[in-house]
Amino acid sequence: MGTISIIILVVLAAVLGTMITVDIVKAKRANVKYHWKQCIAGYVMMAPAITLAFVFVLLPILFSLGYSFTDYHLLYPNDIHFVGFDNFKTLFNEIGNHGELYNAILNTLKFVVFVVPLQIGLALVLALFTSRKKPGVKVFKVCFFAPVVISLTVTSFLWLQILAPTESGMLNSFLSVFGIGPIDFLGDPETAMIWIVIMSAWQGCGYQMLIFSSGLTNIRDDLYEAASLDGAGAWDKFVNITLPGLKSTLLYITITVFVGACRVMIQPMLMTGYKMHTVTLSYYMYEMGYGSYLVGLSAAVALLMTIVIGIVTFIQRKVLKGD
Amino acid sequence: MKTGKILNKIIAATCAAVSLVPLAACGSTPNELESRVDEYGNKIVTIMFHKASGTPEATAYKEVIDAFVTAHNNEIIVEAEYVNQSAGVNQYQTTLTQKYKDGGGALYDIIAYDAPLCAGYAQSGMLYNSTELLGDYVNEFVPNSIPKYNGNVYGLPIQEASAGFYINKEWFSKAKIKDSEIESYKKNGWTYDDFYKVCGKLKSAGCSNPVDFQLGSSDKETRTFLMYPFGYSAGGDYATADGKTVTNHFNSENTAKGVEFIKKCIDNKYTNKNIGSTDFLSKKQNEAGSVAMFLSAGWTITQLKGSYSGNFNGGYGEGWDILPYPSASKASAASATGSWCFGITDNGIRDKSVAVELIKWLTSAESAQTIADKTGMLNARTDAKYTENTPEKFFRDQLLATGKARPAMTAYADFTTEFNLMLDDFTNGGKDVLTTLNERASSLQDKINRNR
Repeated sequence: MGTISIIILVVLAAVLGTMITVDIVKAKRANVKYHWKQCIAGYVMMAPAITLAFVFVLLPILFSLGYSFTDYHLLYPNDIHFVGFDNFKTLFNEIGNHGELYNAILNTLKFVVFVVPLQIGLALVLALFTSRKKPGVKVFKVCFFAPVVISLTVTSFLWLQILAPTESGMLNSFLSVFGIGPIDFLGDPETAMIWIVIMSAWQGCGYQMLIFSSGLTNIRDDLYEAASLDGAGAWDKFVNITLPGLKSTLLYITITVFVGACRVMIQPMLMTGYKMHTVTLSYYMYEMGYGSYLVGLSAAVALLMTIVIGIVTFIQRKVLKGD
Repeated sequence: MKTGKILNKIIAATCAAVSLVPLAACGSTPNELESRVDEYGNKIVTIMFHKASGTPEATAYKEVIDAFVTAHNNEIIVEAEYVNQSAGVNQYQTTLTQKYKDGGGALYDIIAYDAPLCAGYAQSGMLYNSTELLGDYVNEFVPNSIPKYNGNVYGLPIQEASAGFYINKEWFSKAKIKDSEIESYKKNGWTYDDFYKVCGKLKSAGCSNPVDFQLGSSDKETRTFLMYPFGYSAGGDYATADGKTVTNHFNSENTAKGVEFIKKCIDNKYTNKNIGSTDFLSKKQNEAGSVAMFLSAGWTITQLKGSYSGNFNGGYGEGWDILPYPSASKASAASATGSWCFGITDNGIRDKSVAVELIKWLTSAESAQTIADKTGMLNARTDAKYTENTPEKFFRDQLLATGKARPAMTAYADFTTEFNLMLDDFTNGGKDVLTTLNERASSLQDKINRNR
């Protein structure tokens, strides 16, 4: 692994060197003066960022890409073979058999479809609420943001207490006042994912609320004043001024929430464990790598996931960017 | 320069780099060494433990190692690593496999590992075939406890574990189940029908939760450990001896008959997955939601003798007792076994004599007792002494009489996953036992086939 990392580093360094050489040659051919000092200074300043990106972003992605075409098994680190597309064939067969992977895809899809609009909608509502110039609003802002700074592990355990299936569970003890329950919210295949969605949206929306809030401050007040003079109501102002004004913010938030939602793992792992009705793609991938030791197959899932996320993000960008 | 051209260059660089990655197959192999010695010629042996430094169990290991070093006049140095397991047993396994991978196959001379993982570690070559190295020494241990794969020995047990049904005798008395009946079940075993009958009586006596199987446990391996014996208890099994075939084993008629026992208990509302994990221990007989029987392992003894003792009307045999696993017939009775082991690794150090010396020391009569005293687990040595009429003696006898190990599979984690998905099907309802078993057996067989 160390040797391979060095080889990749050398290749990248060589490519960078070639790029610089090509630039110099082009500059000479075009009779343009190549400013050595400025260029070197530029490359030196870029070096720390490039190094960090190489070590923590590019290298893991490259290894993951490479492993997806191998039979890499965690217990056989010295016996790795190139297997072409075999891993992908295995995965597609498993999807066809309607096994765990099939359920993982369906559950991830359910999660994404519900959490993205819910989290963004909540964040927008909270941002609109907290952007009002009323006393005490800042306190609410802090309260709404608080779950973001709490670890996802801690919030998962908190929600486990809230949703506990016994009468001592917070929600069940409340429902028992009306003679309802106790209900096994997370054990019921029909409702488990809904609660994971609600918990995740609650936990994450505070961060998007802040981004929306900063977006709202960029919308000029005179637009609202002019609209009021024209007799526009609150809904008209929201649809015709606020939403268009937040378009670029909305694009950024939609993409980041979508990508984050596709990677959901901690919540189902801690709140329900490995169940058919809550297993997600990332969770499946983790179990495949560390449980079954099949790193190659696990990397293939990661690659497929990356491709799908990339395509959907590209479409989102095109659709939301519009004109 | 145009963005497109830069992009082309980046893509070219990426492709070049990606094409190199599969060459990782040519990675380094562990360096071969005759033995490990320090600058003064002292021999070094390395070992990896599954407990964090400072825990009672790690303290016992330290004590034993210190005694070993002293006995060898400091001529053998033991380098030990204690791994944290605060995030569960997977944390240790992940650390172990990561170190194995990072070392290119080189690892500590001795490692601690959970018994069911023996097959995978042995087949991959991580563990060293110690059959000849340990020779007749293995006869000093309970046969079921010795980690074996394909007939070869791959280590020695640190300790043993067993499980059974803890009972609250106050509930039994209220249900008019006589002490003589309890004694009979305890000595002669009991059948599924006996079990249903007892549950029925407890239910009639007002016990809403006659038995807790720990179906709600979030730990997959705990659920597997406690309930896998039912698959054997009607003469069934889970896999062939080599662990490569599960079809017609995992879903055999006899296995189905055994695990159907769990489903019937759920369907008859004798148990459910929502019983609190400490309800049996913490709720007195007259409290709402109290539990009459609790399927658990030996570690519950410490809790019953300690902080929860006040919730029972006396100690072992008076306020609480333990009953064995029920079975279809006495001949097919089975109970849980299997705990942690020490194994010598195949890490390129040719001279295994020091590792053998240390592993024998760690599992000697004196060391095993020191460790068992600290952990509260069962001693796996045949010469271990137990006082009559103690819960520990009950588990020890059960272990010797009916203990049956979990299936030896190279992809053991997949077995755990499938077994737990089977239990989920039972608790969620909607499917008959054979349909569930056929689905899970087919899925497990696919997983075994895709693994090495």
